[in-house]
Order: sequence, then structure tokens, then C-alpha cells
Amino acid sequence: MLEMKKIYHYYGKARALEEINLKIEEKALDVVIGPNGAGKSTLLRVISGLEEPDRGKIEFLGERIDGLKPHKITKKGISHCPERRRLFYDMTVEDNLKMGAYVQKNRSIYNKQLEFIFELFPRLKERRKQRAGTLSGGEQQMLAIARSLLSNPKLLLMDEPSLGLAPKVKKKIFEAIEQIKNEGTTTLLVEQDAVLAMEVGETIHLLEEGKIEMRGTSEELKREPRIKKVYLGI
Amino acid sequence: MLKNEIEEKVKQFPTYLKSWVKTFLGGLTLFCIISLIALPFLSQNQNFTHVFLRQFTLAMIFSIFAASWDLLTGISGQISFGHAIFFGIAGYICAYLISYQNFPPWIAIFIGAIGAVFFGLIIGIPCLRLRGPYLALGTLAFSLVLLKLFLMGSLSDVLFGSEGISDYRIQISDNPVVEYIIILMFMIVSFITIIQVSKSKFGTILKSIRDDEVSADASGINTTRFKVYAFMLSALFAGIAGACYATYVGAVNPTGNFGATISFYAILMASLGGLTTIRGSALGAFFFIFLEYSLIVAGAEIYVNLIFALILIVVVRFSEHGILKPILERIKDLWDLLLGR
Repeated sequence: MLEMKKIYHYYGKARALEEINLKIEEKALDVVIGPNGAGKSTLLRVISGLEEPDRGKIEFLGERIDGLKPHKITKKGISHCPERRRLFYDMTVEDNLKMGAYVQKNRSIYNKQLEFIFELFPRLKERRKQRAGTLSGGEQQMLAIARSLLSNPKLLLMDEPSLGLAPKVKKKIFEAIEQIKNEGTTTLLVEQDAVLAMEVGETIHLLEEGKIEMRGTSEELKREPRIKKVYLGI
Repeated sequence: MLKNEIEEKVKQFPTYLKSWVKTFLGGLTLFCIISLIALPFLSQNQNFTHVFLRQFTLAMIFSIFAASWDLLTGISGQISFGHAIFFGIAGYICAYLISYQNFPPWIAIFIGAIGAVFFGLIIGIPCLRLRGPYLALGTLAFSLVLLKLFLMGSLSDVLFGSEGISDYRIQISDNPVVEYIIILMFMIVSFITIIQVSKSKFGTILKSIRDDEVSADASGINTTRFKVYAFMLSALFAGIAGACYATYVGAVNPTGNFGATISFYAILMASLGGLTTIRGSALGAFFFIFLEYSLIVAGAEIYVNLIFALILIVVVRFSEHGILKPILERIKDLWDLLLGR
């Protein structure tokens, strides 16, 4: 579905991504793990057009998308749920959701998607009229995920959905991610919490210092001694 | 489909109006509108119509201006320190058309406002690369450039120099009551439009750009285009206010219509009333104009800005969202108390 070929990206002279090759199959749940500053968020920003890659090619459903403006990429069916949630804090939950569905002109798909989301996060339904800034951290994350789902994306990019959340809430979010995957949305997840990430992910990519160092199913990676030591702590 | 929707809206309008009046805010707004309409018929006293009523007219013009600033900055988050650009350009176009081309004031006001929209487009496009405080500085610089251009003596053949245009015909009407009613109509229409726009889907899109531009972009909103729209729409109402002001004064000159103080009046009035409230702009404008008026009566008009700035500092210190919301809450409490709830 998505294919990145030899992507390089620099912030000034600092290298953020180096020769990234990545292929995501339809209906897969891929996870990128790695330490702070490895370039995980940059990877997603490059895909969704918030950053333009310095070199390389990105293809989505057989079309080149690198160099396009973010809103154009969203229209093609890639939805980015950004890091630290970035909600529209002064607007109500309902308005946030409406803006998420901006590209979705089809009313019936919107209603179906909304139903699915309220099933997934019943909390949001209760708080529809509330300002997004007054929600708790977990609820805000739910809203961020819901907002990016409402454009009915073919590919969902999620950036650290567990950031700053209590373990219990984290679990809930990851359950939701699994459900979204079961509904048939292709997902690329970036996550620091390797233990949780390996539970849900099918293919795991290890990103270190801008390079993909290792790749495999979670069973394969769990056997690697270095992963065990550094990321799983066993 | 759209036609049906509109028809349905028109059909539902009377019931909507009824329920709107019954709400607290709706009733209060209607009360204010009715008392503004009734005001000129209260007295035939010369002093009343020629002095007091004129202050109301001025306050209404600045209400429109402050509300247009609130639409751009409060609702869409694009800080403008140069709103006098639109105010002044519309005033100049309006005065020029009436004085040199013998246009009737009605049409001149509209053409002036459209000229302001055009300037909104011209200024909006280069300024959109700037964010936050830098946008504020960019718009301020633009307005100062225009001020200097219009002041320049060597350009006085084209841009009328520091004298500006002065002509008795520019006045919309000799009768202050007629003038008052016309400006009131402009104000009501402008406020209804601005408030409805900020409530509509278009307004929600603007608010989302204000809250988080990156997220708005990632949601598929073409932020650049909507920011230009916001500039143009705001310029339209600022232009209406500017053209009305030119006809109110009966003359235009660079410092009076392009000066940085004009831009700051909009900011002061809107933030005193409360950002993003729109209605607050009217409250702020009336407050400012009548403070100025009472100080003029007291013979202390040179202290207007000083006193107003002090009041604003105190208000912002204690109430981030201006005076409109706290005042409304007090009135509502009083109302509930009177009804014995």
C-alpha cells in the first residue's frame, strides 16, 4: 500500500532519516519502535507531508505523494494523528470531530464512522458538548484518534498514542488500536513503549539514529538478545 | 439539495426566531436593538440629536470595525496590528468617488468596502507566511507604509497628500437622525453576518486553524486558502466601517484614517469587550466612545488614551476574556433573582 524508497531527511545539517525503505501491506499493523530522537516522528511527518523529504520517493497506492501539501495527502486517504495530540483545544469535542471529517463529504460514511467511534470510546459520546481542553489526558488521546479516524482513512499514522498516560489508560488505547485494525484500517504506529507495541504489532521496525536497524515479526524480534536487553528489559 | 435545505431553513426561521428571543442572550440582544432603534425618536432637542446621537453613530461605526478585527484575530487567530489599512483605504475610495466622480454615498460605501477586500487579498497573501507576533508586525509595517505614502507631499497629486479629501457632499446625510438610522442598519447587518459566520462550518474551520494549524492541515483543510478568506471577510467589514466613518466625518486624511492609533482602537475595543465574543466588540466600542465623550465634556480629552489603557490593563489582569462575559453573568443572576428562581 505504502512504499518508501531511500528516504533521506535532514534538519539543517542534522540527519534525521537515512535511507529508509519501508513497505506497508494492506490491512497490516506495523509498529516502529526506537529511542528518543531516533527519527520516529519525522518518519510519520515525512509521510503525511508535514515535512518534505530531501531525497527519495514515497508511493501510496501506486501514486507518488512526496512533495504534496499535507491537506492533499489527507485527501488521498492518509490520516495523521500527531504527537502530543494537538487537538483544537478551544472547540467542543463535536466540532473537533467535525473538523476531522473535513474531507469526508459522504454523510452516510460519516455517520457510520461516528457510530463506530462512539462504540469504541463511549466517553466521547458523553462529552460531546464539552471543550476539548477540559478533557483528561486519556480522553484527549481518544479524541485525537477519533478525529483522525473520521476522515475514513486508508492508512492511519499514529504518533505515540501512549505518551504521558497511566498504564491502565494506555491499555485501553491499545485495545482500541487493535479494534481499529480488525475493522480493516491499515495502521502505522510509532511507539516508545516496546512491550506494549510488540503485543499489538505484526511487523516491527526498529529505528535507531535515523536508520532502520532491524525488522521482523514480534516473535522474531523478541528472540533477539539486543532487543531483549535494551527495549524489553529481560 | 442545497435549495431544499435553504427552503427548510426559511420555513423554520419564525420558530427559530421565537425560541431565540426566549433565550436570555437572544432577548437581551433584541432589547438592545430595539432601544437603539427607538433612541433617535426620544427627543427632538438640537443638543441631543447633534451631539449625543452623533456619539452613538460613531460608537456604532467603531463597533463594526472592532468586530471585524475580532473576526480575524479572535476567531481565526491571525493577529493584525494594521487593521487601519482596510479602514483607511475604504474611506479614501469612498470619499474619492463621492467628491470627484459624483457617486451617491450608498454605492461609494459598497465600492469602498470591496476595495478593502481587494487589499485584504493583496496583503493577506504575502503575510500568510508569517505567524503569530511576526504577522502582527508585518501588518503593522504595511499600515505604516500606506500611512507614509498617503502623507507624502510629492504624491499629493495622486493621493491628495496630508490634506486628504474634504467635501461637504461626502456626508451621507445632513440630518443626524437619518445618518444614525443608516449606520445602525449597517451595524445590525454586519453583526448578524459576522456572528452567523463564526457559528457556521466556515467559522469552525477558522477556529480550528487558530487552535492548531498543523492539525488543521493534517485534517485536510487547505489552511492557506481559508486564511486568505478570513483576511478578505474581515477586510470587508473593516471597509464598511471605514467608508461609514469617512461619510460620518465628511472628510478623509492620512492620520485620521490610516494612523496606527486607528488600528489600536480596534484592538483595544475588541479586547476590552472580550476576544472571540464579537458582541463584546460593540460593548468595548461604546465604552470607549462614551469615555472619550465624557472626558471631552470634562475638558480632559488629552487623557483619553491614558485612562482607557489603564482600564484595559486592569480588565485584562482580572478577566482574561474581557468584560462582556462577567457582565452578562451578573445581569443573568439579577434576572433570575427578579424572576424569583
